[in-house]
Amino acid sequence: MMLVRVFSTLALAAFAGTALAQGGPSDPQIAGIVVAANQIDIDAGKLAKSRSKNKEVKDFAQRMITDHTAVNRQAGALVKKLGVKPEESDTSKSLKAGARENMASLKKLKGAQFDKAYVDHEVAYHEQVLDAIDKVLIPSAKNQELKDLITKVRPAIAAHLEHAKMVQSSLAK
Amino acid sequence: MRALLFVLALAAAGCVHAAGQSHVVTIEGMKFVPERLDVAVGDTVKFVNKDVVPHTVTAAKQRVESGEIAADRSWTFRPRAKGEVDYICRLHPVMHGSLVVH
Repeated sequence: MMLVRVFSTLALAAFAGTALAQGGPSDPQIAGIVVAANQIDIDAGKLAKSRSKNKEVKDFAQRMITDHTAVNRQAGALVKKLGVKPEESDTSKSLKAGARENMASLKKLKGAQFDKAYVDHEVAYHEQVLDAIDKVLIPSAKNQELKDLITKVRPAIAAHLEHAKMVQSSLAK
Repeated sequence: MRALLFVLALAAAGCVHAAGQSHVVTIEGMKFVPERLDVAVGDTVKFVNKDVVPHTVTAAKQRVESGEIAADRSWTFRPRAKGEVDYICRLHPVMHGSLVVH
């Protein structure tokens, strides 16, 4: 749990740091961050779905796969329409690096330990993504349709966070 | 004439539903809007999903199950019995709403 907290704090610092250093990410970089952030959660969900034996955890993982796939489909359709090519940035790179570490540590775990680590990370990750949406992505997005899409997706991320917390407290019982 | 006025007054107060009225519940921002709706037996309630992600309208007790309603799709429900139908989105258990069927 401590490790998760440290990772997410570091990743969040990377979000904020990049924004401050460059006066906020450009629209192509924001598109890159959105796609990366969704893909990371899809990958973690696939791992959890195959590894967990807990129905609540498996259902939550399936929800993450379906919802983040839906968001990425919309994001893909929008960038195509706008003619924006998603670009890598320090933020997207640090997100991916954080995700690789998370997957590596999750793969070492089994059973209840795996479930707890996965769900704890999902809580921290969705908190981190919400924070990035509010502080970096929405304020920096220049294209109105891109800003609208992120605004439209925000309640889904907030609902995922509440759902993750529900699973977290039921695992703790 | 007096009876007609009475009916009109009740209708104006929102107490009477003509059977077969149509209602819309919008699913947007991970919420059912309106979250609580008064309807009558025989009315139709159309649930329109304006979110990016799929949702359901599920009330296990009354055996109401929409199946997955994809983004920009809708599902229509016609209540057949009086009572309160408390429903959730089976996919996102933090979402809930209720239909009060008169």
